[in-house]
This record gives sequence, structure tokens and C-alpha cells, in this order.
Amino acid sequence: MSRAPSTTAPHEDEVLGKAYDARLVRRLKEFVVPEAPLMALSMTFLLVVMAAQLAQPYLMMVLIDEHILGESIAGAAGLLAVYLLTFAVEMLARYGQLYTMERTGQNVILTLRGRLFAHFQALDSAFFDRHPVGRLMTRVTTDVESLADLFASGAVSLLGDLIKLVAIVALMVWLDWRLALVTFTVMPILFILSVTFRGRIRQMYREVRRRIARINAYLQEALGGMLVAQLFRRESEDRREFEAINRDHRDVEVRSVVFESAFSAVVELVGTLATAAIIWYGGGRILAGALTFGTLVAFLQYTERFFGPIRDLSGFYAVLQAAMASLERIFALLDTEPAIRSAVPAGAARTNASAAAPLTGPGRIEFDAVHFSYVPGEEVLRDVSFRVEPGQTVALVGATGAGKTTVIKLLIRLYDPTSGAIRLDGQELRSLPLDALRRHVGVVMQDHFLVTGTIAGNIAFGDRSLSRHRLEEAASLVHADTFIQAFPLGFDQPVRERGGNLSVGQKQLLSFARAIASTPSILVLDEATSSVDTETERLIQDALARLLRGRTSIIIAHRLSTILAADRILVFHHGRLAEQGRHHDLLGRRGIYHRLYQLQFGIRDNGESRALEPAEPVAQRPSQP
Amino acid sequence: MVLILRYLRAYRRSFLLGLVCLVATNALTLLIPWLLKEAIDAIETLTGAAAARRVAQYAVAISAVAMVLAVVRTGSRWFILGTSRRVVADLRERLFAHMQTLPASFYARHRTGDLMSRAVNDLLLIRSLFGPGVLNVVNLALLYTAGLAMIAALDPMLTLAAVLPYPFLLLAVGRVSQTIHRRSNAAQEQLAEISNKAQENLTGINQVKAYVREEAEIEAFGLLSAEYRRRNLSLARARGLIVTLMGGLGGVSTIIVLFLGGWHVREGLLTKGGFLAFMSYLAILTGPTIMMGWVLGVMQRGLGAIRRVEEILGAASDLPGDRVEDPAPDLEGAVRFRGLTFAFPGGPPVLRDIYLEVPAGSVVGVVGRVGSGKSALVQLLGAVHPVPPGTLLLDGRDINTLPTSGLRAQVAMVPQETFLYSRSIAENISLGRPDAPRDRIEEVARTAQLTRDLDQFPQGLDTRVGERGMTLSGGQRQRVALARALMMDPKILVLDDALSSVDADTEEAILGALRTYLKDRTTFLVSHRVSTVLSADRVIVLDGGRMAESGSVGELLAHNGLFARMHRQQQIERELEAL
Repeated sequence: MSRAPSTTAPHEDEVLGKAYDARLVRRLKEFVVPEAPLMALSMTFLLVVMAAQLAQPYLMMVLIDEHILGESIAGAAGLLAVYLLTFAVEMLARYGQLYTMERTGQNVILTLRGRLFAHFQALDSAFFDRHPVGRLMTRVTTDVESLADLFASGAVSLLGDLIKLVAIVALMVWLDWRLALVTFTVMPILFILSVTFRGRIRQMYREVRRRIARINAYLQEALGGMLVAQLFRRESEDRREFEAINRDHRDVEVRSVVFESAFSAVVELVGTLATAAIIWYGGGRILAGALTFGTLVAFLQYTERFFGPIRDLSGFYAVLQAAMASLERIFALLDTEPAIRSAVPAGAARTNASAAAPLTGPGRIEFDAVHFSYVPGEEVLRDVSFRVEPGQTVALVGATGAGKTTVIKLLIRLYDPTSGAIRLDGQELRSLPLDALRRHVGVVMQDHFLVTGTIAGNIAFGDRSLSRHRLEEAASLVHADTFIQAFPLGFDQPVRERGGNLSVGQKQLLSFARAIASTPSILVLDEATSSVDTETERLIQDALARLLRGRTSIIIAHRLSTILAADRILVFHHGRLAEQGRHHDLLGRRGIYHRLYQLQFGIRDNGESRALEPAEPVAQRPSQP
Repeated sequence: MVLILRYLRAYRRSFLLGLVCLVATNALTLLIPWLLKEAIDAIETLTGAAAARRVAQYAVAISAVAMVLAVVRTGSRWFILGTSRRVVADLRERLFAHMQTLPASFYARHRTGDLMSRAVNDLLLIRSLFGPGVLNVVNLALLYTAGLAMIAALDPMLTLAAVLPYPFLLLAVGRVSQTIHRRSNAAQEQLAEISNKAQENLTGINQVKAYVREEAEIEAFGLLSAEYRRRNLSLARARGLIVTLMGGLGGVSTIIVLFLGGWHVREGLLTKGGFLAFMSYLAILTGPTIMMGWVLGVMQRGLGAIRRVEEILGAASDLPGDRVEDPAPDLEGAVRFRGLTFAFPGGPPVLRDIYLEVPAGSVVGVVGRVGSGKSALVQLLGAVHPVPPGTLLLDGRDINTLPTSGLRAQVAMVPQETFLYSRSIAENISLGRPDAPRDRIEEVARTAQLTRDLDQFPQGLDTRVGERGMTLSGGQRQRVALARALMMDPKILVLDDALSSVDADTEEAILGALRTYLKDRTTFLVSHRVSTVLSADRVIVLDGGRMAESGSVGELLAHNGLFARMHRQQQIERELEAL
């Protein structure tokens, strides 16, 4: 078969941006405008720097002509002092300019990064199903940083350089227009060169970027699949392919170096040619007595200052292009609309969360002919209808993938049903303020989500209205206080990343404390399947009983004790609510529940209320411990 | 330093050429102010037409030097920067080739992201070290020695006075550079904090929503960002300080020259031309001085990157078979585990005291619960992990004495979760046999029951995996992986729960189609489904890393142990499915 070195297509992160995209810059305006005073200050500093820089050759000219070569040295000291002053002013103003510019950039990216993060919080769960976390992280880190580079590299000073060039030309013409004219005879060469070179360099640069993107994509895939490649002895084939794309990149890169090197060398050349012209024509004019030596020196210095900025221009281009590509991705993300919105105006809910009045209903839940699918065409819930009366405890049971977790996700509106309605105390969920709904429903999920911070911070979990007393009370209610007090710092004990320093049972009790601290009137709980020691198990069961008391509760149950204690059991099977009733009635029907029961508890040791391993094995990564 | 020279060895000719060009560049750069001086002095000493002619000659000379200078300058940059590109390209190839030889234990320790960072970011740092880094260091050394000599020749006393501020300058730069280094690290650490926070938040986004924690998260993130801004601004202040210091001291130097030099000109100790040349030389010397802090940073970071890359290049395979020369003997396929106990590095044993004798050509079923050691057991056959000597024999030979590569040509593995390349399905199938003819690919695709799905794909077998949302289902992926293994024409075939996502009917069809294929091959069928292994010659049941039961299906069912229990359990599951 033919095997062209077909390698991976660059994914969205490697798409090449234009060097300058007016549309993106317009959108960036929103973030830059608030910094206008700072930028104006920076601009002022820049003008001061330029004025000082341009004054220096002039002062030198006066010094040379009137004092060094002139009659008297009286006043030379004063002039030197002024010269020194311009230096001091230049340095201070430059410091100010660099700092204000950096500050502007940092302010802009602070706002932008905050906006991105806030937007993530507003986006719906389905969005996160579609986009890998790693990709999204790049937006708030690398992409925002490349914008910071743009500011640091001197987006504003570019404008300043332009003014500087014009000012230098004007000064030279004013000093001696004839000499100025001769000096600028080299300008057309510079112009032609930069036009031809810049186009080439830009093109080269794109080529290099495209190839490095290909290398990186190839590497990423090859590293991910390295063990497979080894098992199938593909090493030499892969190596050949990699060498081909690596050498392709190298060749283009080396070629681009020629242009880069030549560009700066040629700009330098043109500058020196200007110097030669000044010497030739200026020398003649000095001989004729029409020009002073000081003016010649000043001309030489101005010429030097003229070519500096032009040399630096080429490096700026790379930064600009990277920033544009990042902006493109950032704005594309900000333009993504969340699919799930709060019933009250989103802005109001977000800026002032507590403004939404808390819900006060008794907690009657009603699922009415609910259908749902994550992926169109693959229904996860089909025609599910049930009611939970205030204060009732309902257990959801079913095999993996039967749709139990989805019921919970729909109840707190992480997703909206495809059709059908879910009502809370008679009101459609969609008509309720999102924050109020989620505060009303306390959730304990299976993967205990712990954030870096203290134990107390993890119980309060961002709700600052909870007093310390309330947190400790909540912890003691669910028996979490014993292990917490055992820590040297008690409630102020730091929690490591993802709760690394806590046992499974401790994490569970902590989640219980968190749920009870927020005093929700409805409790939703995904019971953990992982086994804990008998003592902890006893604590958990007792805590669970306290948690459920007096609350409308929906539990995805794995413990027999929980199932037995429930007022009603809902049996899910392939997305349908297949059976419901109490334990003994359901067992008597000898249907799905009966078999589920046998699978979970019946076969090994009858009556033991310990969860067994799930029947379906968890996906196991090959060849990794 | 030794490392730098070693990396440059292969390109020493073009690098030396670059150095020669660099010397020429500096010589010519320093020649121009001298010509300037001569021209001005001619104006002073000569008169009339003779002077004008002389001046014109010097102007032409300056232009000529400038042109040659442009050429050698281009050359110096091209040779040196070009060499840096080549050095890095070579290094990238070497790194890749080396990573190909590293074993599973290495990849278990290093995440792909970290390795990518080595291969991408560190190589960029190394490129800067060999490119602008080396260029500027050499340039600085040349300019300083030659430049100082030139101005000393013009006016020794003035030279002494002009360079007076420089020791202070260097001292200050050194100090501030340390501060910059420290603050830059502090900023980087804060960026890592931001990144961690974002990761924590995004992975737990559903919980954040469930607990209405969005506001608190935004606030916490905002605090981290604000701290990052603060650290960057403090870094900017240190950077600004260096620019100010450099410029200010350069200014003092200029003032000294103006004052003292002017006096010397008045006294006739220095010509006007000499004075002008002196000023030019000073300007030429200050430029690289300002760059020095940056260059030091580039060198420092580059050396750090080299150390990290060398660390990977220094890692070696822990598989004894990797040190045995090919070719491997042709295997019959007899497998013998002889008291095998196996643990992953630093972990508890996952397999204990395994004794098992598998005659060539037979089919062994391996069942057990999650974590019972099934996968580990069969992975050892592909020499993925090192085993204690004498505990695993193929055709009576210790697996450690067989060359890994030659062994893998005869052992094909199908893992439960496979890795597909973003290439065509056909290319994925012929992964281990890149030269396989098309009809052979089609044949194995048929055996793996992949053909029945092909009309779902726009280009059949040539459809690219992962392109434009063209995703394969779990079952389809597993069948591609199976076809890939069949393609290897192995003596030992290992299906490691390889059909778990394939539905029961298709599985039955696959097993049926495989029957003839498996005839004279040894096969290990690992499965959590009892039904898969019903046709095996022999079944072993693993429990907690030990062989709990072993025998024919009939014997095991009669024994009424773990296997029988799993069998019953799965019957109920099937009934449940049917409801």
C-alpha cells in the first residue's frame, strides 16, 4: 500500500493566526479602554524619553562647536550639567514608560483571565463533556500569556518609534537641509529592501510554525502510543517518519535564518552607507566652511538613532502573530453561549448571587415524562415519571448505565431534559433561579471533590454566610468531628490536593458535613461503592440516617441498609423506570430488582450489607501499574 | 562546557567558519570609526582639493568596508544560528530515538505532558543557548578586548576614565540579575498555581455548580491572578532598574568623555577625528553590555535544559531482553510460568507463585475480578515488564534471554483499551507490518468482523481515525486492535479483555472466525466474561494475584468455586439484559 508520511492534522491549537487582525484588535478594545489613562501616561513618558534622546546630539553639537573648538570654555560646565540632566530624565522616564506599559499589559490580562474563568463557571456541563480540560487550561494560561508578551514587547513603543523617526528627519532638515537630503538618499534602498525582505521573512516564519506544529503533533501522538509502537515493533518506521518531518522543519528553519541574518545586516549596511555619505558631503562642506564639526557629529548620532528601531522591527512580528492566534482562540471561547441559563437575568444572578431569594417550598419533586440524551440519538432516560413527596426518602437502584446518575444531574440542572418536565413544588425547574435551585438541593457525589484549603473551608465550600460554629456543628452531626479533632490543627488542618491526606471514609464524612452545613431541604446523594472498615462504615450509616431525617431525599443506593430504610425504591433499567415499590414487594415480583439484588447481595453471603465490587470491571489501562 | 563542545562536534566546521566570520565582523566594525577618524583628520591637516579627494576616498572606503561587513555579518549569524538549528534538530532526533527504547516503567513515571515539555520547551531553550547565547558571548569577548585596545591606542588616559564606571556597572548588573532571576521564578510559580487552580476547578466543574460555588471560585482565582500580576510588576521593576542602570552609567561614561576628551582636544592631545572615533567606539561597546544580563539568562536556562534532556538520554531500559542481540529463535509457542512472583517497581506483588504450563497451540482462558492480576500476567508475555530470572519460559528458554524485539515479532497483544493513531484504519491495522499487501489487510479486517461496519465510514478502510469527528465506537476500536494483532501473524496471541466493548453476537462471530486462525498458535484469552472462555482448552482463575482455580470449563463448573459463581452471576446479568 502507499504510505505517504501522513501525519496528524494540526488541531485547533496550532492554527496559524494572521499577523494583524483588525476584528480581533477591535474586540480587544473593550479590555484596553479602561487602561487608557495608564497608556496615556506611558505615552507621555515615551515622549519625554524621545525628547531627551533627541536633545543629546544637539547639546553635544553646541558643546563641541562653542566650547571644545570655540573660544571660551566658560559655560561648558553648565552645558555638561544640562547634558547630564537629559540623561537622568531619559532614564527615569524610560523606567516609568517600561513600568506603566507592563502595568497596562498586566491589567489587561488580569481582566481577560478573570473573564475567561468566570465564563467557564457559566458554561454548561455539556460543554465540558465536549472539551478536554487540558485544552481549556491552555486558554487561561498560555494564550493569555502570549498577549502579555505583546504588551511587554512594546506594542505602544512601536507607535513611539514612528514619531521618533519623523522627529529625527525634521531635526536633521532643520540643522542642515542639504546634508539631510544627502543622508536620506539611502532611504529608498532601505524601503525597497524592507518591503521585499519583510514579505519573505513573514512567509518563512509561517512555514516554520506550520512545521513545528506538525512535529509537536507527531510527538504528542507518538509519546502517547509509545508502548503500542514498541509492542508492534514500529520503532524504526516511526523514527524514519519523525526524521523526515524533523529534517523538513530544520531545512526551512535554516533557510529562514539566512533571511533573518541578512535583514539585520543589510539595515546596518544602509546605516553605514548613510554615515559615509555624511562624511563625504559633510566633509566637503566643512572644508568650504559651510558646516561646523559639531553639526557633523550631531548628524552621525542622529543617523545612529534612526536605524536602531528599524532593526528591532522584525522581532516584533513573531510576537504579534502569536498574540493574534491566541486572541482568536480566547474570543471564540468567550463567544460560546451557555446552554443552561438561569430564569432571572444571568447578569444579575452572577454579580449578586445572594440576591436571588432562597426557595422555601417543602420539597416535592416531580419527573414528568422525562427523556434525555447526552449524544443525540442515544437516549439515556426514556419516559421517566415519578414523584417524591416532601420528607420522603427514595432509593434509586439499577445496573451501571441504567440512568441513575443522570436523574440527579437533571434535578440540579446540570443538563436540561430533551423533553418532558421536572418540577419542584409544582414549578418547572427552568422557571427557577439557578443558584437558588442548587442551594435548595444538597448534593453528595461519589467522587468527593475537595479543594486545596482547610478542612473548615472544605465544609463551608465557598459559603461565607456559614459561621464557624455552624461548621463544627455540622461536622459533629455526621461524626466527622472525631477525626478532624485528631489533626494537629483541627478544623484548620490544610487539605492537600484532591484530599490526598484523607482516607476514603474521611472524605465521605466530610462531604456529608458539607451537605448538612448548607441545610438544604432536598438531599441528593450518590452513595460511594468503595468499601471502608467496619467502624467507619458504622459511623457513615449513622451519619447518613441523621442526614436524611426530615428531608426529601433521593439516593443512588449501594448499601442494603440504605435500600431497606428507603420509603420507596425506584428501579432503573436501560433508561426506564422499570419497577418501583418497597424492598419486599419488589423481591416478591421476581423481576429486575430481584436479579439486581441477587447480583449485589444475594450470591456471596446473604444479607451482608456491604457493597460488593461492581459487576462490570472498571476500564483498566493496558501495561500500566 | 564540555557538553556544549560535544553537541557542537558534528558541526565544528560550520561553527568554526561562523567564528571566523564573527572575528572578521568585529574587526570590520571596529575599522569603521578609525576610517571616520582618518577622514576628519584629513579635513584638519589637508586643504582644498587634496582634502576633498581624501575625504571622498575615505567615504568610499567606509562604504566598501560596510558592504564586506554586511556579508560577513550575515555569514557569522547564518553559520552560528544555522548550526544551533542543526544541533537542536539532531538532538530532537536523538531524543525521540532514545525515548523509543525506554520501557513501560519509564512511561509510568513520566507523564506525556512532561516529556513533551522536554522535547519542545527545553529544546527551544537549548536552541537559544547555541544560537544567540553563544553568538553574543563570543561577540562580547571579542568586542571588549579589541575595542578597548583601539580606544587605548587613541587616548589611554581617556580610556581609563571612560571605563571607570564599568566595574560598578557590572557589579550592579550582577546583583540585579539575581533579583530578576528570583522574581522571575516567583512569577512562574504563581503561574503554576493559577494553572493548578484552573485544573482543579475544571475537573470538578459539576460539583462547583452543584454547590453554587462559582462566585467563590471566581474570587479565589481572581486572588491568584492578582498575586501573579503583583509578582510580574515587581519583576518589571527589577528589569526597569537594570535598563536605567545601564543607560545611566553609559551616560556618565559619555559625560566623562565629553569633558575630558573635549579638554584633550583643546590641548591638542587628541585630534577631532580621534574624539569622534572615541565616541563611536564607546557606543559600540555599550550595546553588548546592555545585552549581557539577557545573555547570562539565556546561558543559564539553556544549561538547565541540557541537564534535563541529558537526564532522559541517560535513562535506560530495565528489560534484560533489550540487551540481547537479535535474532530471536523461531518460537513454537509453549509457555511456562515457574513460580512467578511479580510486582511493579516499588509496589506490592500483583502476581504470586504462578505455576502454569501451556503447551504450544493451546487456548488458555484467564478470568478473575478487577485487580486480580489478569492483565499483568499476560503483559509479561510481551516483555513489557522485567520478570525475575527463570520464572517465565518460552519454549523452555528464560524470557530474559530472548531479544525483546525478536520476541515481540512473535507475540501479539490486544489490550482492552487500545491506542489508535490518527491515520487511516488500514494504516492502523498494518502498524507492525507497514509493507503488508492490501488483500492481507482486508483479510484480517474480515476476521475481526470489521468489514460489516465499513460502510459506516466514508472512505472504508482508508478513513482516517479521529478526523472531523469521525470517531470509532469502543467496539470498533477493539476490532481494529484485534486486526492489528492478527496482522502480525504471531505464534502467541494475547487478547487482554480485548472484546469487552464488542456486543455478544459480534464476539461470537469473531471467536468463530478465529477458530481456524488460532489452530497452531498459543492463545491467551483474558476476559471478565465467562462466556468468552467457554471454548478454551483450559481456564485459570486469578484471585488477588494467586491462581485460585485451574482446569477445564467442565471441571471448574463442577468444582463450584469462584468460576462457577462468576458463571452464575453472569447468567443473571444476561437475563437482566434480556428483560
